[in-house]
Amino acid sequence: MLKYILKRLGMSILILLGVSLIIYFLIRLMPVDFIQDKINAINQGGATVSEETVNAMYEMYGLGDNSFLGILKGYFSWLGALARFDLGTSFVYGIPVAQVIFEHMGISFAIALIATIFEFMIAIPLGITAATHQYSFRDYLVTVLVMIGISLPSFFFGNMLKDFFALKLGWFPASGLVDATASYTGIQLLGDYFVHMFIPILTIVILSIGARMRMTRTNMLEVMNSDYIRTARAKGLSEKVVINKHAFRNTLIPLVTSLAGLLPSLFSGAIITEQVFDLPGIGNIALDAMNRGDIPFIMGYNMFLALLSVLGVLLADLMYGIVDPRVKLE
Amino acid sequence: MAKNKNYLSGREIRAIAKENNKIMKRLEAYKNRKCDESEYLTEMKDNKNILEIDSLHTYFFTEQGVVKAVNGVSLNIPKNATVGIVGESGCGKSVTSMSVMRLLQGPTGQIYSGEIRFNAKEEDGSEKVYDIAKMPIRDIHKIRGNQIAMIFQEPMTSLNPVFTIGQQLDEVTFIHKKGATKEDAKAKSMEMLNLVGIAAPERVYAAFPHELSGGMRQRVMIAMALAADPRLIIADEPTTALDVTIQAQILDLLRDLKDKIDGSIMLITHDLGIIAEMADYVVVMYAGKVIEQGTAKEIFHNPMHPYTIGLQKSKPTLKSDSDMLFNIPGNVPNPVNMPSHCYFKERCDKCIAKCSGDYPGMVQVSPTHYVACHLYSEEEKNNG
Repeated sequence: MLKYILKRLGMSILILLGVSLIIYFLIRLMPVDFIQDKINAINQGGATVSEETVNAMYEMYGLGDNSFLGILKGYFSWLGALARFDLGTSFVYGIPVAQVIFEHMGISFAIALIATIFEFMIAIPLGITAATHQYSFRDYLVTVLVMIGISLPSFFFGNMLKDFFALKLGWFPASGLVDATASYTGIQLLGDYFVHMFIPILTIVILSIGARMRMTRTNMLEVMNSDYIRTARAKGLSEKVVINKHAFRNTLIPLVTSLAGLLPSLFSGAIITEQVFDLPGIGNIALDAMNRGDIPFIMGYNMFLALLSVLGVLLADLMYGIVDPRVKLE
Repeated sequence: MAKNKNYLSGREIRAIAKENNKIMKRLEAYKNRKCDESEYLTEMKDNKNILEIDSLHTYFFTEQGVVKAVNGVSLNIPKNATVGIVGESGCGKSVTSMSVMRLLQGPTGQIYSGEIRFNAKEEDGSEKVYDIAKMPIRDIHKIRGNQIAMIFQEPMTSLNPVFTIGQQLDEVTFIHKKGATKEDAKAKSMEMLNLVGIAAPERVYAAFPHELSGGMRQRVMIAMALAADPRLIIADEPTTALDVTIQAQILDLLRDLKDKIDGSIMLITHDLGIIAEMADYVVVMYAGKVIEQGTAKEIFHNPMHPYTIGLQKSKPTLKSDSDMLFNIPGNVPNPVNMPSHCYFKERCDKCIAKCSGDYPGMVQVSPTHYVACHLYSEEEKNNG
């Protein structure tokens, strides 16, 4: 078991190296130029920047040589810094990338965690009822509702909820994370956070229930039609025990697969939803960094997610060994 | 319609769906109703029987129309006897057993009419007769598992892959013996594993199903069926998925067990060899109906229905020097639109004029031997 984990971790390092190389090249080839934007800003201010200064700036940021070898050199200097646990300094914020990620991740993580808990709590029971009452009115109703949820784009649905709850009813604030007019502390601050996060979380939950509900329903149906469920019924078990013990335990197996994607999604932030509600989450920051060509941040952010993805897959594989006795990890 | 019998227009499909929904809704509601026990208590016609199936109709309401999988089956299972049910694939023998266990996949599969009278033994030793067909599904636990147990065709997939054999066996004791402790359940499970001839019961008890071979799993299934001391065991093709040597072992086991337990076996198979070895009485089914029934001796030495005779002939033997295996020409009629005459008419080589008429009734040829064929009613008339 330990050997298996170590082997997988060793493989993960190789994967991450490959991922970082690809991401670095892609970012360097992106048609965004942080320096040019900066110079444009200075030019708009009325001042002029000499050719030498521009070149010096490119050199300083390590973006001087855009040839293949130049990019490769840039990559290795980034990698060298990483080996010293240094993700570099953000171009935009001027502070270490790790600090930027750390500062903005909390809010995204809180939203994602709460939303995911609600998503599971709602979607799994819905999927189970839909499956056990297949083709009934209940099944169709649940399916139609969650399909509407899947189909709505988040920027549209988020704005609709905002319009309804924040502007028409006035129950919740429309955007931001804290009430700028008040200075709360302690429990009051936490309450204020909650009030601000309510609509974003509601949006995410409604939009994400569908996929998980459909997955649970499909798995459950497959399990309910299997021979061992018939055996369980033939033994004289009540339908409740058949579903909640014999069937549910088996539907857990494919659900574990989704754990692999869950880990990075908890930390990645919801880019569009955070935009709509103007939340200072990591998704919002990442989009901004992408637009402005903040190479160290994009690298740091993406590598962080890549690491979580690799760990998520490893975690899912380990969980398989626990929920499915047929899986032996070697 | 005349061009292609299997083609259904959109209107016809909608009409079928509408009609089906109406009936399925009614039958589902009947199945899920709450009612007093007196509503489904009944009397046995003959007290020597443990199970009496009386003109059972089990239908599947499909998109193509109503499939009458079991279309008026009547048969009796006497106490302490093995009754073999033979017939080709799709003749309704499994559906009959599923109807007895009430394991039909709803809402499409439904018992439409008929009676299934079962003589149940209560814990205090008194006997009660239930009409299983009328029982609401919430009361089915009174018979399922503890009075009637079932062994399935597919041992490879019939055990839950995520629980150990021990957990699955113990469960039976927990359901049916009130106040059973963990130790009681384990003791019973070990006893059952020993009974079905498993060499290392401790090891098997702790094993997961995927760690056992098919034969072992079928033994476990049998142990599970026996754990609650049922009065009737339904074995639905218990050896079909196993190789020949294991088949023989499992059949020997079933035969031994019948002597050890006080109960009857309903053995469903398409293998006449198995029936010959195991059964006291034989019921031959064809296209959802019983066409001949009698003692094993009568069916094997004096088969009367042309289909039974054909079945006998199509059994591969070592004695025959022909290269070709005998087969009955033709196919079973479309189960959605059954003809009104004898279902076997198109494939029968002994057809007479009367065969184009009504479906033949059951003719008694000996105290225990019945056959549904016009050939013999004619004879009877001539004699009488």
